[in-house]
Amino acid sequence: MTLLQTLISGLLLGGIYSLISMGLNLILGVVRIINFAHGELLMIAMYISFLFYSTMGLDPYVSAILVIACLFLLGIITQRFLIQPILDTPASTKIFATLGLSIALQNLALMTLSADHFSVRTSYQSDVINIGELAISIPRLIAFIVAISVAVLLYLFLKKTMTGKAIRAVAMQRQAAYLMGVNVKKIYLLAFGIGSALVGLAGAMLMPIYSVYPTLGTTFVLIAFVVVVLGGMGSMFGAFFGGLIIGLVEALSGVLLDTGLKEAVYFAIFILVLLFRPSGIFSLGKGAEEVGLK
Amino acid sequence: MMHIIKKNKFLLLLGIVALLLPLFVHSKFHLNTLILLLLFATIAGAWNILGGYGGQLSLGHTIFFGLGAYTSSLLYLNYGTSPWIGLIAAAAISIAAGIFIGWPTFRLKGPYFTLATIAFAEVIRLLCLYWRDLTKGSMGINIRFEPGLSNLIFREYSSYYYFALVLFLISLAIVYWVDRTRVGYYLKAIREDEDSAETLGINVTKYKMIAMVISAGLTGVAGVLYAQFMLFFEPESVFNLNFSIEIALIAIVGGMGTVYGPLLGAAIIVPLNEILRSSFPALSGMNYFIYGIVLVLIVSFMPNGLMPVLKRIPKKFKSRKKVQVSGSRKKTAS
Amino acid sequence: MKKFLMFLMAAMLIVLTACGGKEAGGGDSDTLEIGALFPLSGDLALLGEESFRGAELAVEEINKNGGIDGKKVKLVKGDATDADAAQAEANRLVNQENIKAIVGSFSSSISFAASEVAERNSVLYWELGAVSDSITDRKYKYVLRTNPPASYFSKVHVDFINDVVAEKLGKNVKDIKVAITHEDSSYGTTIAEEAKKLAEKEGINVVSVQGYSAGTNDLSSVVLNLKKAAPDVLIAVSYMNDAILLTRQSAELGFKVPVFLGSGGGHTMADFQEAVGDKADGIFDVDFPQYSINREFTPGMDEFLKMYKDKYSKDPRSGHSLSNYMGMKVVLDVLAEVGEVDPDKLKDAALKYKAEAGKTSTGWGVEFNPENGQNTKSEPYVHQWINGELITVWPKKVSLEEPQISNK
Repeated sequence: MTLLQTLISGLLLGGIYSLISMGLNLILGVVRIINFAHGELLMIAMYISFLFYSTMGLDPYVSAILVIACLFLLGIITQRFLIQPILDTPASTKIFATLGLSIALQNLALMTLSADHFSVRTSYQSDVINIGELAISIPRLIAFIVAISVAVLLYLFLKKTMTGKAIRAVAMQRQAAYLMGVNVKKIYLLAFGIGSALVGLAGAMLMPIYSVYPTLGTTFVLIAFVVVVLGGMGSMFGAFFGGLIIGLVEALSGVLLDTGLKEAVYFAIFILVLLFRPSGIFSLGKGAEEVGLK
Repeated sequence: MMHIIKKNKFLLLLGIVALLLPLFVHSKFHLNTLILLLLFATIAGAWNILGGYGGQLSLGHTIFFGLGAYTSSLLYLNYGTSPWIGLIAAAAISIAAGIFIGWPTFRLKGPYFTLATIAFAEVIRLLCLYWRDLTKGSMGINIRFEPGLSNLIFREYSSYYYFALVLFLISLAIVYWVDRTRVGYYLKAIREDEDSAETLGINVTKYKMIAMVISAGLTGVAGVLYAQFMLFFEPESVFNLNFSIEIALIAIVGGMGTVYGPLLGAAIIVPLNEILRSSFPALSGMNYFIYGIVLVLIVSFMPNGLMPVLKRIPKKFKSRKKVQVSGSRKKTAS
Repeated sequence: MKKFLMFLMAAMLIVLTACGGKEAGGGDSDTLEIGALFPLSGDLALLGEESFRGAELAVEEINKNGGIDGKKVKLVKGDATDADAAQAEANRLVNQENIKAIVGSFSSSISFAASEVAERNSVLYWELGAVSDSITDRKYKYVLRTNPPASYFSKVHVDFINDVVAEKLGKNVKDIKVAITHEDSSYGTTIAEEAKKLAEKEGINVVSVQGYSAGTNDLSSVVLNLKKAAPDVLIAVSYMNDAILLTRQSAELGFKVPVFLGSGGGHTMADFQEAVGDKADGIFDVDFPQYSINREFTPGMDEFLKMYKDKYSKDPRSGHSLSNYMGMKVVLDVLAEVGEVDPDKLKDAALKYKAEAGKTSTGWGVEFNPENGQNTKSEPYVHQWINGELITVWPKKVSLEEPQISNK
């Protein structure tokens, strides 16, 4: 029974990780940048969601659309004014620019909103569906369903629409896409915008589950990287399943091994995947690492 | 040897200043800052060999730093082994860890290598927290303050300063050697284009490994100095991701793949940290907020660090002179 | 090359001049300066700041009343986000600002690193909030601590189980199953280890110990392990984020424990109650004194609360500010006796300083153990969340209500 419940809890946790990682996947896959400020985007999304709740009494699920819009804008601004000017610089520059942004945003939140932990309280928050002895938390289930929907919609968007095809073209071959007449800069803006908007969605879904505080992002950002690389960069379903795997690994190793080691276990698995299948478990064909990420 | 000294008169001068500095600087605070500056310059210099010359952007260098600190301290506390021997043990363990990590991860490129090093550092930090019987976990390691040369614990900060200075000079010499020999050229070639380097017949893995071994060993030794100077550390302070970031940052700000870049970077970042921390007591967070902004600005406007910018200044100066000269010639001609 | 070296020299000069504060000792003759090291940014900022506020209020109070011999007292702040920053900041305070006594620090690792610097420079380090026993176990000459360490916490845990829980549950102490869960920084680890040691010594059955990283996103495995162990009593040591998660996920996964004993940190905070609502009700919390307490035993608390509200325009987030306030008042009392910031004289005067229990704003007495500098008359109390309020329930002398335990 415990094992079955662990699997369910792990899957639900995985849904949360997937949700957070899919935006990062898009940014990493298309713009090719290790965005260390990803966690801070999540933190901002949750603060915005909380502000809508505390000032206007909006339920996080209702205000989600507003949060998404805010984050889309924020993403575009970040890309246009921070990332775009340094696109052609060495990898180190890009990493450290986003790291600087991450530190600045964390402390901006501390200065303006203090270190207090803010949470929302809703009636359904602690509701649970019970199947026999098994329990499924409603907000976590919602997050899970949203994660699946996002994966499917994003897949369709990238496969079927012109814009989506352009994004994929840029992700695969920047140079070739440019020669084919794709406006690469615009695609980058769009990818960063959509990636951030997805973080906004994640933030809204997380608000009933977690409380928000300035350093919240640091607890999620490394996991997001692990998930993206594990699943395979650029593959939306990869990020989705990558999230589920990490969630399961975390929950299972906590129960079967030791709760103090669960993080170590998923980092170890991450290393193993990197070593034996660096392109990620779900990436198809040629791995991104062979494209030569620089 | 002579020609090096002749060529680097200023270097000699700087060395003399560095040697005499404790005679003039009496404030322990300034000495403390200088010791940290040299320590960071040493570690960033070590990082620079792998990250700057070899282009292998590691954000896991705390592994070697922390292993160094823990190795010598545990030997000292459990078996009474002198930290002088601990230095060798620390270097050995760090090098072993470097080989262990480098051997499989050198196949990875770009962000994948970086993420792998972060993951290794996290695993080691978490294991160190977990394995309390050996490491005391988060309670940390506390070395008793018993000054003595054999304990490598000194009452005077100036002794630590000289120790740090010697360590730094050794690292500088090694980097200088790397810079001037085949190893450095090969590493740079690997950084620019690994595949072409391979095609040209460079044994890529071998040279990456050489860089890793030197880098890890030096960092481990620096960890011992840190432990003996601080006398208290815990997994969070020596295996912290932020620490890895700071090491790389110093090298990047100074100038990756340059001999003096890490020193320059440390001379900027370490005092900047000190000044910022004490500058805004009224508003928590302001100090690190500014730090973050400064970081963004530095890397955005000087993506290759300060060293190349500084090197360019005299050239610009010269070329402007030339233009002026030729311009005036034209004038006379007309 | 020349340019570079000149630049380097300039940079070094900047270091030396920019940090070139005053060299003459002791500060101005009409102020008494004391260093204050707390984590004011970073992960520990929430409780670090709350702690600092208490010290700040005590100093403002004394200055409003004319200071010490007409001299104002000034707190020189240092932001010690972690052990490394604590080392550097302690160095700055001691060697740059010429501080001769430092108070701090909320976090044990910060305290370790900073007191190491203080001891080496013969500067007094007066701890007001960090709980790791080893801080005073080192028997440093210049370390004092007003607040109770982890071992006092676990003594209260075990005494409370022996005296109250056993009877209320109608069980023999030997039959009570205790589980422990803790975050794995030094705060959680020390309290958990002390509790385990003491409980096992008393013959209490410890069935499960679950450590986890404080930055964790998920405690489902902890909760499931605890559910399997089915304890009668759960001792939890958590920060904020994990305290909220533990309560929420326990409810989600249907884990109930008759007696939930928190140990300060998150379980004390108003934000915690805010986050989990009525799920907080019934949770016990072993911690420094809080505000719904027998005020007759804690004279001066009303004044403290008023001052706090006047300055920060809201109620304290937790009792951390109060115990730092009380500790700082002891520091200031001792300072008033000595009249100057001299580490040796302060230490001597502190060892002679005595206060009876029930006469301070925390109710703690004061008597320092001359051997290690620990205040032996300090103690944590047991509080309980009852209808959204954290009310002191044990021991009797400070309690407002009976501990409520339902054996279901």
